[in-house]
Amino acid sequence: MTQFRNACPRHCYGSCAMFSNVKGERLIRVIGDSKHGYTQGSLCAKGYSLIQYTLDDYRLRYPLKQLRRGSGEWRRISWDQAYDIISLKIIELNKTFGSNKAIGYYKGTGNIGLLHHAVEGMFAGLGSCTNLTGNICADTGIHVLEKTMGSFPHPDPEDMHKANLIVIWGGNPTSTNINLMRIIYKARKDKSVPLVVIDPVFTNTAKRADYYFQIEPHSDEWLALGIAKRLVEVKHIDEGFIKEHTCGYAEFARELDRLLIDEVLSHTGLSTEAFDCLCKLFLEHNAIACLTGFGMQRYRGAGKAVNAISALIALTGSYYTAGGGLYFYNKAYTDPAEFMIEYCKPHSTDGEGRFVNINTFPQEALGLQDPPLKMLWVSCANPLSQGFDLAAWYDLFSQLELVVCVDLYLTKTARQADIVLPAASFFEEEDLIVSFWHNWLTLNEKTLPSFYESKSDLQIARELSSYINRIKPGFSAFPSEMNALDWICKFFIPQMEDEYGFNSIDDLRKQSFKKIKEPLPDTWRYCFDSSLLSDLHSEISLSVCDYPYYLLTPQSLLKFHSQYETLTWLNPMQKKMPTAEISSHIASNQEIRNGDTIEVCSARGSMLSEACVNAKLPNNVVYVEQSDRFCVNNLFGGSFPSAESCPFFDCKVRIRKVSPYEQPEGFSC
Amino acid sequence: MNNPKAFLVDVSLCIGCRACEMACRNENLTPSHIHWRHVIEIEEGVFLSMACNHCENPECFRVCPERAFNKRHDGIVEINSSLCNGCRRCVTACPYHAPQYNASTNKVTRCNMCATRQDRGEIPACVEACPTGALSLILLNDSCNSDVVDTIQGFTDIRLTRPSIRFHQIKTPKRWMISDDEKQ
Amino acid sequence: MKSDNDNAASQVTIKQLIIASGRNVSALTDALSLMINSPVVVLAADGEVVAASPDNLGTNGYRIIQRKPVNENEYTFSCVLVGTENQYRSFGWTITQNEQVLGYCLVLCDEDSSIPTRFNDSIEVALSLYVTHIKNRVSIKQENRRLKEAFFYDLLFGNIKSNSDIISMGKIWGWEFHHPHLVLVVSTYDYSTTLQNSYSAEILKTTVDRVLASKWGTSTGTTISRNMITAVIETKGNCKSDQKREVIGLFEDILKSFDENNGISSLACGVGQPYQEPVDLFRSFQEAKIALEIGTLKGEKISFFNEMGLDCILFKHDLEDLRGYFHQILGPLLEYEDEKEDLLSILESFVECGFSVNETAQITFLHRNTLRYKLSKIESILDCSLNDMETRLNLVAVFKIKRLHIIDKTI
Repeated sequence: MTQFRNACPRHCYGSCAMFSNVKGERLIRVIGDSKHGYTQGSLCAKGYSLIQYTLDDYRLRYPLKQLRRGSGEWRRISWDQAYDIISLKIIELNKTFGSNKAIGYYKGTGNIGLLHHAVEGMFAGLGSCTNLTGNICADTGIHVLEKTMGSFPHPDPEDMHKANLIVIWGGNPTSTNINLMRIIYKARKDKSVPLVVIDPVFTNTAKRADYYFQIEPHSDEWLALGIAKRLVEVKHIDEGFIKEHTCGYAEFARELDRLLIDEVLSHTGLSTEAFDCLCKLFLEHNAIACLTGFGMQRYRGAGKAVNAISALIALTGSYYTAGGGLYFYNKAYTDPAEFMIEYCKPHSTDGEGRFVNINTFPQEALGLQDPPLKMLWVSCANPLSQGFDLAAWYDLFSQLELVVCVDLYLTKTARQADIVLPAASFFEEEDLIVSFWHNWLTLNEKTLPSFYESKSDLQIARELSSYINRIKPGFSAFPSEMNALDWICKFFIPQMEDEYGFNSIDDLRKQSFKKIKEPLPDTWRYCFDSSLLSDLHSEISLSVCDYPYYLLTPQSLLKFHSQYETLTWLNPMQKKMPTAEISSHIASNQEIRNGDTIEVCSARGSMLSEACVNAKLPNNVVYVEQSDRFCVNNLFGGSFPSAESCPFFDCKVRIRKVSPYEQPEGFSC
Repeated sequence: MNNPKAFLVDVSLCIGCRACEMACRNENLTPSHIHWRHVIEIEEGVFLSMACNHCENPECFRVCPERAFNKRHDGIVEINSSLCNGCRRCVTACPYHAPQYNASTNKVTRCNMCATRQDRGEIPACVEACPTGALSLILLNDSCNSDVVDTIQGFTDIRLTRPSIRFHQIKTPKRWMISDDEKQ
Repeated sequence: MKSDNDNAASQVTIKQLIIASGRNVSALTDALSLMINSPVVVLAADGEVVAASPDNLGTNGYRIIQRKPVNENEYTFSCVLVGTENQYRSFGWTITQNEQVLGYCLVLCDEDSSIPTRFNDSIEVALSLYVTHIKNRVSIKQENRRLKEAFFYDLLFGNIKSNSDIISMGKIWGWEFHHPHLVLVVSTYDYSTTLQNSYSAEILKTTVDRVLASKWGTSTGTTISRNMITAVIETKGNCKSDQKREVIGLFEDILKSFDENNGISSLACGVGQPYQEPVDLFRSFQEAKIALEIGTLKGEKISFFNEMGLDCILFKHDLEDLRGYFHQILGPLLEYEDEKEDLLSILESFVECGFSVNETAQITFLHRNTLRYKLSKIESILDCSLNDMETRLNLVAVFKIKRLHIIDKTI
């Protein structure tokens, strides 16, 4: 038996360090690394199911070509045939349009390993093509907090237990960040620090809270400002902090004055008693750790909620306290990847290329002219299942001459591609994993031989780049001679060694490394944004229209968005239909019982599902799991403000009970 | 005197993450339909992770016509698969659904408290995996502690079998619900 | 001159003592007795006789009473040695090592005499020789007990899968497992707590051991598990009723004996079925525990597994079903209870007394006519006849359910 060091590359809070035991080229066990400061040796349910993942029958084994897109008529081809088709198309498009701008890529966060930025590197190597910008998860918060907090300081989550109040706002760590619960419990055990959960859904985190406040969806900014107003009213604010480390307080306070608590109560649905209780908690504590989860950032204009919460934390003066502050996203982590992209660019470039935002990709890409987008490379992503505006995605695909999809599975997206390339799992490649949440970096060693003919993004980038260069020398500047270890040793280690305190790959093979912590500088300022309040008042639209309910589709416990859905340890594939949880209010109004078939319809689309009454949901909420098999995203769509992540939860639906007689036979989604 | 081992569960800490369940599979490589360990919600918001309780008076044991079971001196109940004839009497006799029948092998298997790990001085895989310390291991003779109780609301009747499982008391949190259900 | 002689004599004796001790503890005791010309008894700390000279003193255990220190030396005392039949005045020395009392060396002597001081050195040597003997004895006993308990555990949990293995291992302790055996368990009523106190458990075990030894001969064994005493006994009777009578007699003796010793009388006993093959004894053990548990619920002192078929089924049956059945049979009467007439308990007594009016009247202190009136009232409420066989069967069953306490919350 041999043991290797690995790191989970999912776009997850944990970025867990683990060891894998291998016997006869088979993974026989994974073990958490107890020396990792954040995860301390625990893996999640998905982590412990990785044995199945490496051997999953559903995994792709060979490159495939689809005769006609969407037909399902697949032919196995060789890698060289695939490279040939792709290279010829790239060269052809370059010839037709005089640049590579007709060529674009959509690289998701299916694997956040630094070496997966080889995809961006490969396209950077082509010079001017259609590039990607933006952050799919965190843009809403990032843009707002840049305004109020500048290069906002992210506290170390391992210190969260030092706070004297912990607030989880619109997040569910019991499903998405289990190790944080250990830290929260430590605070509770050591110093009786209460856990406050604010969420419309009575999540497992809410069930473990000392105080749970159920609020209406999309009412977070009202609640945060309401508490802020109460703090200002009773003059229970950290005046020293406000004087020395903030600007714009006076105006903010003046604007707050116009806010009516009654409005807060009617928007949030909280009783006066509940609101008073919550305010009291904020009044009685001064080192407040507040996690702004992604759930509350999935509405149009949800930046206001993040903004309001950051202001509320500022009023309490928690930013300089031990453990206190706003826990959201460790923004600095992308930098090494940007360097990698820069490194791959040709020295003499024919213009900069153009950029499309990842969140508004299909709409923006459809609008591109001169030249229009003609080829798309999709990697680490499943936009036709997980995208926001699926209609726009299908429109975009129909104008594309070549779609290449690199994936481990035949996803919804892969099914609409011309060429599907089998991707390596992270056990089959070297990589470096840096967390967007805690401060640890872990090496991922190549543990298993390639699964059939699967390859890593880096290997594909290297091989394709040199293939093109063989046809047309000098076409790509991508350094295809550099293998994974070269990248790690010659490129990333010199960049990161000072920050993390390692010297060589041998160090990395021994342990995970934690970034040396920078304290919040004394010169840092928080800027209150009083425009937040004027915007708030202009937007009262309680339209009870044809679509009265919110459809919430948060991250589920045993999947990662659409990933891991095929692993039977986690998700026995017995269901014929997705399950939609509905409030007892909806159930009694429409006489729906558990097990009934219902149609969930938005203005954009509909899906059939099996009803399950959840008495703990707010009256106007429908709850459905994300899935590739039973894709729910065709209900989403519409425009939203730029510089925001997709408002996945801003989807209003109605429910229709389907009589057994009208159910189509052989249901498929 | 023997000092049997028992699982100690603090349901106030359990977050229902099911890491224990999958860690068990990761360790024992059980097929998907075999659940040596299972997390259930015994009441609204109360998760219980349960496997074989290695009872003091195991019923599985008494009803087995092949005498396939044995109980180690540390309390671990084991089944000798080579003796099992797949009659499934133990499956029906156990009030905790611990014995699991595998139709493809026609054998019953069940949690063995990671006996081989324990013999190496390691703790069971499920206990090691628990991120919050909700699941741990105690020695029954040392558990005369007022925090530790024999049963909790929602748990199966412990009489007759006397399961080797102990609990911490449950504490009630404060909740402010707006769903109709709570307003009534 | 005299002192020289004495000295010479005692030096020789010390040498003899050491030589005798090299043989065994009895030889040492004989030598000591000979030297000081008095009977000697050596006891272990628990009062058991380690050795005695002359031999006939050593048949029973002794207790030490009226202990008084001699010469301000805490290790030397005068006392009265109480055996089962006789008592003797004695001088005693505590046998200790590192402050730990291992046993006592007692020299039997008359009221007024004393042990001449010239023997002091010899006795001191003897005491130090006893330390080794007693320690060996304790460790042999512990090892023996450990092995025995390990064997017992394996026997009771079916860990030994071959009859011949069990039989040959049983022979080591004098058990004849080729004969049929059964298992019985004895515990206090409050199953989970009282016997946690290992002291009272030990006393109970000693009691059970003693009773078994005197009544049953050698082929028996007992063990303490966490909260009860388990005994494996050979079944002697030829038929079920004989066996039952024997076991009841045995338990009554245990009760009596335990009463005398302790004052705790709330013992209960569960008895498993006899098995011909020792590999099946683990079943008898599980059965005995079930019998004990269900019997305790029903308030019975001794319960036999092979007599509790219906109880066992009812105990394990689905609760909702039982609740339904209970209310189906007794529903109207339960609703009637508002009137404070204790019809339910009268009916229960009537069922318990085997549907005999006379017996019921006696235990309920009701006049027979009053009872008859009440019973007919019950018949009208339940709308059935209490003479009907089917009704009687149902009533027996529902009162069993009630006594098994499984649906106590709803009743």
